Amino acid sequence: MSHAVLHVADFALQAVVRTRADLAGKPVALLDDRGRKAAVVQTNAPARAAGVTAGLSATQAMARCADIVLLPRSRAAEKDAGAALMTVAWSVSPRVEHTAPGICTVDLAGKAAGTHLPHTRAAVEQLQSLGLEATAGIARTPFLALTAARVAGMQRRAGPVSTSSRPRAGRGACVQADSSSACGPPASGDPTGSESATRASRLEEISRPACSVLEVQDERAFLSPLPLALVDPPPDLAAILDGWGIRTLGSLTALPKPEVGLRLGQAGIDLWERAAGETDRPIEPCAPDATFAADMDLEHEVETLEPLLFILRRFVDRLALQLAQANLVAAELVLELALADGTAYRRGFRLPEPAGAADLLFRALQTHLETLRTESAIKSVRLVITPTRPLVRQHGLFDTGLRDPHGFAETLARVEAVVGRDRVGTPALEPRHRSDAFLMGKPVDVVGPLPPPPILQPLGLPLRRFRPPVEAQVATGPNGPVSVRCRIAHGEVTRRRGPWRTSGEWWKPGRWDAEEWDIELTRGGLFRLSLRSEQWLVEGMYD
Amino acid sequence: MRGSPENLAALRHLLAERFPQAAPRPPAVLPTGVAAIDDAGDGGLPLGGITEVVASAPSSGGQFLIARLLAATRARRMRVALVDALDAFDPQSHEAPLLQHLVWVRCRTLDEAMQAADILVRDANLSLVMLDLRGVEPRALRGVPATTWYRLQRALERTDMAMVVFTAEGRDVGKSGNRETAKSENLGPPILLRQGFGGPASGAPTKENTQAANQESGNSAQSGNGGLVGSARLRFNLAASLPLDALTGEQTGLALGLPVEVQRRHANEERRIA
Repeated sequence: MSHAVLHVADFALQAVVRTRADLAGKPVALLDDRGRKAAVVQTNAPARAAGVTAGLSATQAMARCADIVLLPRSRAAEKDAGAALMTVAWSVSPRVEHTAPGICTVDLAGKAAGTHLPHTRAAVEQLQSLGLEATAGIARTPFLALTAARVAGMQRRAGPVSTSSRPRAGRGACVQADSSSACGPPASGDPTGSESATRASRLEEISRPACSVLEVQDERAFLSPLPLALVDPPPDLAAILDGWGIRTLGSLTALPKPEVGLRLGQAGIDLWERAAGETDRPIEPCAPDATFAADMDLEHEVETLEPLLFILRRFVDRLALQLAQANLVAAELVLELALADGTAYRRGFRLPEPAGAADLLFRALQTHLETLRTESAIKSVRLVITPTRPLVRQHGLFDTGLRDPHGFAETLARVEAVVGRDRVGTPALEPRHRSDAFLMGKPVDVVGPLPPPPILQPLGLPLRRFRPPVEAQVATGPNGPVSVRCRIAHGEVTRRRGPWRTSGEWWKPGRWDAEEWDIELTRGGLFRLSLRSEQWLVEGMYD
Repeated sequence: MRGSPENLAALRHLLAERFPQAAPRPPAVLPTGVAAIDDAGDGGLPLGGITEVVASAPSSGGQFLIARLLAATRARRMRVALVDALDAFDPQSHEAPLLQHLVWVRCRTLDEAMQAADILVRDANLSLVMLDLRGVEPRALRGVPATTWYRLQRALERTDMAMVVFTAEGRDVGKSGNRETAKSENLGPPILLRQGFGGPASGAPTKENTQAANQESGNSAQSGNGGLVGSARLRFNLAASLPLDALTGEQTGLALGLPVEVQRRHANEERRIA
């Protein structure tokens, strides 16, 4: 049996930072303001490099680093980051335990031994793409795997590993048999111990120095040099052992287990077993979430597009991964924005074809949001995906469906953004005789063959409408209009046809009653005139 | 002998053998169903290029050409977009089945129309984009930079999409330039076929090209070439108003063709090589 642990160090801090595009590369510290005096609890690498450490007050932190960004914890961000972590873990194995915030344990039972390392490495890379820098450990027991993940994290904190002196294997990755010359010591614990521990393990260091996976092969040799604090000794036992000069796991396990039990009791035996890697426990797997939704209350109200898109991209990446694991695709996206003025904006995006690709889903949102103007700032965002089964369809040989349905939907969305939502579409005639009666519908997916009987080619000239119709002064004679004057046309009427009288919907307020004439002017031009309520109008030009 | 016709023919033959992909191909076209235009345009509207239809007279058949294009493309089950700058298209003038493949963009301004066209020509699902700019203020139309037209042309190149731009700016077509007159039995009025279409060849909008196009578009009324689309590969001018009988198709020959004048870009690839 083998287990893998995905560990996101400084989870609460990373959860906040991954939702803010403007914090990349800046020193950031997380403040815990629950106490009387707010204190730094977690820091990122630039902040640590500037000397800001956990336990400092906000003032002390700013004194050490003037540019530091101090942030409070965000439960919403942690919830989303936790969901991302679990989603990625489920991509490794269906049996996943939510061990602690930022830590999940994966049961690798049933997976081929050769896939443990590459699959775990892929999960770490996936977390990296979701904005979480994680490390992973692979070992026989959950405890050992967690310890390996922590050790990998400590090595990463100590600094990136130089790759110049090591042989390369695969795509930019190197398998390291002896990392003593390449890996720095952990931030805590003795340096020698870390080097020895790494000797007993295989460090898979990916091209990005922030990602590392540690696979434990020789447990005793791996554990032996590690500091005693890693196994969380009770404080009273820790003091006793420190007095005995025992500071590493190896020095504890060098003592006979029964003798330790005689002197330290059951707690001492438990500690010895943990130090020897003998502790095992069954994991408590949890089920994947059946809903595909993400939401976040924003700490600062968002007024511009970029931060909103940044958060939505995080949502979409995670939900697309979740969909892929469930072998589902998205049929519809629903975006809900809560605004600062108490109102809400809600928009559904029905996809032209069900899709699961994150880029496609994100583009549908982006295209719309680029033209959205809200009355006030956005204070929370929620994205819900309606899942469906992937569409499996074989196109007919002579089908003339859309070549790129998503591209077409995006094109229409972009054009809608320019001209307005109700001004793009396929016109459909209304079953009425009212002039200029039509509906705008959604373009069809497939242009089918023309229905029988065959439609004759148009012979007469179509009308080119003036919307709204142009008011005109028309002189009439016994045979109808004889001259027209308006801003569109003016002149003598040489020939005319009419009148055609139309009326309808007399029972409605919008009833119509018109007398229509088709006229030809001396200077050229065929126009449709209509007389409505004693007012002559030029409805359009035949062209 | 250097430069002799025999050597030239042999060189052409050798080049055609060595580089068959560079040999001129018969131009791909979209038949319109209007004989006058199909005859003048080597069988229809050129694919991958812009065709300008200048309606320089009222009721000269521009909308009729749109109707024929709708019918022709519907029969081939193609998808068509109509960018209507002034929202003038009348669906009631057309049979409902002939509108099923149409994406109608109802714009209010020239800017909206140009933006919409720029988006639509990049969609591979469409076979034809019609940009109707008739009725737009001539000054505004002349203010469209030549680079905009070249941008559209560049987007269309290497696609199998045709684009037709309807303008109403043309006047005095054919006052200058090398003129040929051809007659068709299907048509009452003659078709004027003018060679030596001014402006640069299709391709990248180089500085010289842009200047030439600016001169052409900016001085169209003066030079008399009748169009505003600098990058148009083919240009038709609908110069004659139709009579009242055209409303019911009673005019002889109307179903076969419209009275048009044709300008053709001289920089045809085939002619270049020849």
